[in-house]
Amino acid sequence: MRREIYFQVFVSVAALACSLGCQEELPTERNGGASAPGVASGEAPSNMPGVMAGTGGVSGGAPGVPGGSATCALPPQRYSRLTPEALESKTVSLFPNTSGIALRVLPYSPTPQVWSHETQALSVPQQFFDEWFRVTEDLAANVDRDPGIIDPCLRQSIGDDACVRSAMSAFLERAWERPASADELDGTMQFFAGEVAAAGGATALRQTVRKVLLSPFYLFRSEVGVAGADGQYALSPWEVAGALSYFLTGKGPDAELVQAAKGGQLGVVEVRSEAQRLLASAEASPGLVRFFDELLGLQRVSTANRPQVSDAVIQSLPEETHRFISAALWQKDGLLRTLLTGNFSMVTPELASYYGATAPQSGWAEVALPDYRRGILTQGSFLTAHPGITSRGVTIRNKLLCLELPPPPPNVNQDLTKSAGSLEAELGRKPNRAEVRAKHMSEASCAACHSQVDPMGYPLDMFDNAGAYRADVNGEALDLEGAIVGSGDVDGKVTGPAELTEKLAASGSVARCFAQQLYSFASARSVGPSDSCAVSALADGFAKSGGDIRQLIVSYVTSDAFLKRSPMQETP
Amino acid sequence: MTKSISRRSFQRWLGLGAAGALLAPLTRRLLAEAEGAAVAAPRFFVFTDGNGWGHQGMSRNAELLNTTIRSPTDWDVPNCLQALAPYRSELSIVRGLYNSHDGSQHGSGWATLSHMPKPAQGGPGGISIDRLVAQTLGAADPFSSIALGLSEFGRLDSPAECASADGEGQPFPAFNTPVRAFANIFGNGVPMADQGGAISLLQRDKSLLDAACAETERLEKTLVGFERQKFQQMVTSCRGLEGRLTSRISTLGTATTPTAPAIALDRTGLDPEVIRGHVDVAIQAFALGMTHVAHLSVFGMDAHNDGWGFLGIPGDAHEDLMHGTKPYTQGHTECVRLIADYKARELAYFWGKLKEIPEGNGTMADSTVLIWVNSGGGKHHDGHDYNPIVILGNAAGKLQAGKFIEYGIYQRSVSDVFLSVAQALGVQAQSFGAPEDSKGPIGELLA
Repeated sequence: MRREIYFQVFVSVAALACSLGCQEELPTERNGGASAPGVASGEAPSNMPGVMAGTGGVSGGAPGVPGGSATCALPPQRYSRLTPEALESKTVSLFPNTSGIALRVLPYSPTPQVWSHETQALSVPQQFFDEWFRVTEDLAANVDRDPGIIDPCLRQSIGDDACVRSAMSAFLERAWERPASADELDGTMQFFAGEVAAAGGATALRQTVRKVLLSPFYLFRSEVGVAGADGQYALSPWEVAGALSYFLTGKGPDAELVQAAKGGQLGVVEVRSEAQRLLASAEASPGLVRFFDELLGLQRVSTANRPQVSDAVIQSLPEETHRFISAALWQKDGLLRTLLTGNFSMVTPELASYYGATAPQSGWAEVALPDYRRGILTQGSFLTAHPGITSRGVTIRNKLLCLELPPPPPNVNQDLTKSAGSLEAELGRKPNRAEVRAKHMSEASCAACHSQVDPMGYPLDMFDNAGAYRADVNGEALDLEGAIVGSGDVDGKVTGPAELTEKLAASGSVARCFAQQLYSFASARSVGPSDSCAVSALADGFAKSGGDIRQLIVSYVTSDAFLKRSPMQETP
Repeated sequence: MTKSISRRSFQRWLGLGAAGALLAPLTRRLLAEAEGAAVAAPRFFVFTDGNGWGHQGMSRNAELLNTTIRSPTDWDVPNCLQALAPYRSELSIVRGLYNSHDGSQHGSGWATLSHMPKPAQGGPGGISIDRLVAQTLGAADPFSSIALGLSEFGRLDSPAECASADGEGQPFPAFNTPVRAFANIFGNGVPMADQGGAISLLQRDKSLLDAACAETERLEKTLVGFERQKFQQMVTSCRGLEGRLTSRISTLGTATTPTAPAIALDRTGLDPEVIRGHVDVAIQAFALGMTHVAHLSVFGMDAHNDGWGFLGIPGDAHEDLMHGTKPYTQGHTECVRLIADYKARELAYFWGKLKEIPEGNGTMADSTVLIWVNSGGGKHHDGHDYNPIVILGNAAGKLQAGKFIEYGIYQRSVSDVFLSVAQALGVQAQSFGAPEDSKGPIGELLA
């Protein structure tokens, strides 16, 4: 099964061309542009990027078609370990004093092919467990100081069984983000009683609290559901609340979601309402900001080798983009087009100077940007994270078109000694940009890959490696004429950033890819052929909405793909 | 960004707890020797470097490892490995090994030690060789194995780095600071105001862990496939810690105190003191019986961001080191030689220390095998089909030492060397890694 959704990682093949002496290195998983979970073109017999062949599957409504008749495979049941950030957030909400405690245990930095919260990326190795065990000890100091943080009745007496039972029941619900079963509560109380007998009430309470924190139900979030007659597993209201909340906000359910879960009221109608509630405010911002950060690789913004722009300005670029995303989604129309072409941003006076825009008096404010700055691809964060023509083109191809690169020519020589035949060696001097460009596009071994990506980077060449505007490079004129390649619907010549972003925004392929990427992110896994039906339905709805991102999210979270699961499978 | 263990906790761990932690394994080893155990249990040390050996270390016309080879047993130690020359009789080099599961431009990442393809979902594709050997050699140890490492970029799983794994989708991350590693391996984890109180608290923690492990086991038994594997790993982690607490309880009161690395708590990165700190942690972990298997991963040749500045290599030597395209002052072969030489010196230090530790009728080095493996550098930086592996030690006579073995293209895989070493160490495996690449152990290596 897993082999079915094996996607080629383009970087491994793209590198071949570069080993022949091409002058700009194809981006790597470190310096930008490896593919996000995507669809291998070889597996998608379609002329539209990102479209996967339908594979059928169990019956279930497609996204945007609640209860509809489309037949889509469902994702399998699973347990997802909380990310270090989510674990920290939940723990902070339970204990009043966590200062000085290293809550972010064993931070994990996945490769760009993997979303940071993918279940495959997170497990409980020895090192994690050892550290978390010690963290629970530090956290338990809160209980030593004031047992009332678990329940006020415990301040009176830890020996009152009714109080302890009630307190632990409530604590379990908060910690596990679901009520404990009767058996689970009984087991907790038995442990407590044993500890009381061995060491007294105070120690028993602290150890019982630690036991709750060491539970797999604290560290993992379940999506296993309840079996129905149709063989599908409908997620419980608590599981739905968790899935929705961690997707949109990056943290556990808020009070309203908890109330809805308690009332068992999280069917399609209620989920739509809750999603719309969360999406109506910036509450949903953290989750979606992380989506864009990881999609576009914005974590890679670096101050290194960018002396022309101050470190402070570069370091503020990610926040600018986060504010821009929030503004586009919550203050503007929420359309993908606005994200891709919006001629504005949120800036500080220093950033306004960087952009050549009218500066606000202080703090962050929305300003209009120069005409050549259109949308997220022309913001400093993206341009700094992807400093070169090729890396920018690769990111557009991989992340916005869901396309990978073709395999290298069969006769490619991987022997690096060939690098002695590089352009610089051929010319006996450092080549200029035009010569490099010509080589990348003309020499077969380079062009196999570079011709697929560089043309989408050329229009952005007016921005240097720090994202700053430039009129030339060391006196050499810029050539901003490029092309969109591989989209299937907007291919062709483009010149400059405004035309590039306008065409991308008009592309159905880009919209379809965006829906696929959001689906992959929200479901915290790479998508494969079995997801094609759900992704296609989602993409269709997205197109009909005119590219409304909030509507896309609502369609997804009200679909069977979000609300139901197929049985977990034996390992092949 | 990374919040480490609190200083308060750390200081507490280094109290009586550290002493208690060490007696059990030490006692076990001493008792075994006193009882006349003829052969000490072997040890396995894996040293990996990401991004290979650079252009001149691994390509088919590599200058770096070129040396005079008169016969497989009569050869001169290559220039960059001169630091290991004192151990020439224990040194073997196998060159020309392939690992086709690189999966990225800059290195094999997880596949370096697992020789398995990267799954579509990411993460490791299978168990790494150190963890496989740990199942045999480390089963009775406080730590079945330890993983130490550092990264130029602070990442645990960069494709240019080499990480351990318990199986598909089950990373076994490295401690990326020596002090953090020390605290975890030798620390205790409970406050101890007095001896009696310490035992009492340890017993309470053992009770807690038993309950927590049992709960995870109950859940695990209800699952299948990958979901079950995830929780099996958690159970192993939980029971492992419980076992260590049990040892401490039974031996509290007598101490052999290890020496903590004398560097800052969170210090990491490509830094000679950090690397030496990790090496010292590994030596002490072996010496005090905390484990029989250790993996140290040190970033390779990439040289972005001034990584090897302490060797006098320019800050942005990447193009030079990895592509051989920009002639820096020292010349790229010299840069690569400097890095390889530095690593060889660290390994010589490690090996020399083992030789100072008496064991049985000889020293700890007699029963230890060290392998130096690189990530292959991927298709971009180096030929992934031409990896060298450096081996030190003969596993108490189970491995032939002093060999220089060279293979032609796609004759033998990295996994074949892993399998050979694993068998010499007593692992009952007949293949390792991707089945299509596992051609069996290398006869010229096994005694």
